[in-house]
Amino acid sequence: MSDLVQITYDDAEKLWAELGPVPDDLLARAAFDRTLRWAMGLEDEGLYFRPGGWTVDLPATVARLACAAAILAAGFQIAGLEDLDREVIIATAGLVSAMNVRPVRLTAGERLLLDRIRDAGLSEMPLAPKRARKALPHRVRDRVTREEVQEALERLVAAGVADRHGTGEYVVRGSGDDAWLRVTLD
Amino acid sequence: MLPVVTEPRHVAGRYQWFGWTVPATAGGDVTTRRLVETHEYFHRQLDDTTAFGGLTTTIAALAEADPDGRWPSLRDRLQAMSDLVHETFAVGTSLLTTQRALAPVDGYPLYDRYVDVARRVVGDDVHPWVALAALRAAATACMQSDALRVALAVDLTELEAGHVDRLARPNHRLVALLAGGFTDVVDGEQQRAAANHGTEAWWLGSERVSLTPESMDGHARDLSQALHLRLLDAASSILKSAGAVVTVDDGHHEDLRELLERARALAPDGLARIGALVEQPGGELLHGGALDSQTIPLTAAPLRATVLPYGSVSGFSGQGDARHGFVSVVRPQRIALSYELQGVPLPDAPAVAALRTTVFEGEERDSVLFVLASDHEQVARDADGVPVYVSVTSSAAAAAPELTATWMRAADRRRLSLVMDTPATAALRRWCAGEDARFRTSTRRVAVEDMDVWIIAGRVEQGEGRSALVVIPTTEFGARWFEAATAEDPLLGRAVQVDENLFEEETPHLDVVLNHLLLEEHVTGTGSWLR
Repeated sequence: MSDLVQITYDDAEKLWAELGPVPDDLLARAAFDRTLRWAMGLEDEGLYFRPGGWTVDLPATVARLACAAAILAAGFQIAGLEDLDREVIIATAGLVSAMNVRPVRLTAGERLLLDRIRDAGLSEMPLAPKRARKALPHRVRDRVTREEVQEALERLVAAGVADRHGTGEYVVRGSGDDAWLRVTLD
Repeated sequence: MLPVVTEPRHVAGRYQWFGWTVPATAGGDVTTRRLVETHEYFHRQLDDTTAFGGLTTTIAALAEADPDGRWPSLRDRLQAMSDLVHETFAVGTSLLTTQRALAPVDGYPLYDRYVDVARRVVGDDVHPWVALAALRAAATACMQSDALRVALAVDLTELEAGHVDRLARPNHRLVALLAGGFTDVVDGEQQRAAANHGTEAWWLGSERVSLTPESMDGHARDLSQALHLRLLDAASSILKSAGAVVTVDDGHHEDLRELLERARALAPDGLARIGALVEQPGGELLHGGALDSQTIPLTAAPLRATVLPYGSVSGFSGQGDARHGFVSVVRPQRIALSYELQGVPLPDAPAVAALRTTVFEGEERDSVLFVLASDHEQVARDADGVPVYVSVTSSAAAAAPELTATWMRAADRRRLSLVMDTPATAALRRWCAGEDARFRTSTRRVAVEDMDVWIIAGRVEQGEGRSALVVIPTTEFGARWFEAATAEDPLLGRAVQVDENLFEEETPHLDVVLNHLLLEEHVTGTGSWLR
């Protein structure tokens, strides 16, 4: 077997710290752990009290698949889809592991746009880039084009805090209603 | 694949619905061994005393009876709905009852998260007396859902995980409890308890004892029970406010009986589960204790075994004065699962009798020899004055009562033993039910090679009659559990008579039985019949 990578329980902690929802979600974390163990072949019947952590050598593709499945299981749990078969999660993960899954980090400018739209009571309604631009403070508005605002709105969609609405319009989600994880194709 | 990083001084345990497995390996840290086994015991207690646990273990019994069917998957789904509650409860209560702080355990990093959840349930800086009652109340409220009722509402063969709605799932209920302010209720009880009992000796404890035995005895025990009930009420109210159903006390027993009836009908060869419900139909539901649940892997026996027909070789053991015959009556599956076998096939029968001995290669124990024996008179004739010991496992006695009775009747009672590999508590209660029956017993720790096993040995005596020597292999935890059960159970309290001379009285017999047991078998314990 070639191209082995080593994954430890510590790596799983880091993966969760990087990709897990904030604040921590007990049920999502339980789904993450359960699925990761199963996908890596660590799962056995019953409940254990085991010393130490775990270390597994896996082909890189399998490791990638297992991590994707674990993150997906956590996402499905949050979305209320906890009864999905593990096989479905793995199959979906097979697709997703060919993509890059990572949280989109907003820039200060994008965060400002989001906050201003929400503060102006413009969330949860269709919004064109032109209207969104008007929500920005004067000193900022003068320095950005409508196209740049549209790009920023696209980033808000990628970050899970807004959704596209028809052609050219966006709906910014209300505070606390963020999609925890949005998978994007690079 | 080497999945688990283990340090030698640490110990692992495993719980699997019917019981738990703990190693007999000596060495290591005795307090950690206690922690591990206490942890597994609390898993069992939670399953045995609650509605959701009853559903999961019943489906687990069906999975055992029909491993290729739909049941293993459903069992795993149900476990996944309650694993957070199970681990939080088992981690928290085992820490508190083994005099540890509710804090991460050195060497067990995978459980840090459950320690954290337990602390979220009970809050920081809570006295262990309050924390224990709070964890028990929270876990009970989470597990006492209407899941059994849901299972009974459909044909059992069509039951799916999706039938159990979110608020009947223990993990979801735990989240609802935390969101509903249960921790604040615990904090209120902590303040009240500290004000009322803060100066009492049982509360203050000492440097090494945070949860004193006195805090679980007499008046303090009554107070603890009252505290538990108040917290359970509070937890139930929070869950009901969130729209959940909470089953009160033992209100789920009737549903559990009904579910077991339906499950039995689906398992043509019966359910593997041996519990009080199966043994005492319609009777009280008792949850299984340490002497009903343990599987203890042994490490000294050879891996290989040879099965030969009677007469092909001797099958006797030892030399000179130590020469003896050891007839073992067991289920053939136990032999098949324990060794790499060679020789003739094992008989297709519920139980088999064989002269058993160890074959040496120089000083090394090379393999175990089974010489099949069907005629006890022939064995007695061939013994030619050499003592013959007969050792019957309780699972063989249950599987083949006639065969075992034949060997037991013919054996010299002084050299006859019954080694318990099935639940022992209900059996002891049954044997001692007669007014004048008593179980004369003693308990000893036996250290052999790298193993540390505790042996409860005794004979049931009634009038002039006395039973075979009953041998219950267990652990330190099991021995303590038996002591506590004897003190708390009126029937056992009356019948059990500790006789410190028993081991000396039975020395030659126990030497033979325990040497064969500990050096020739791979697994022992009252839950080991499943192996």
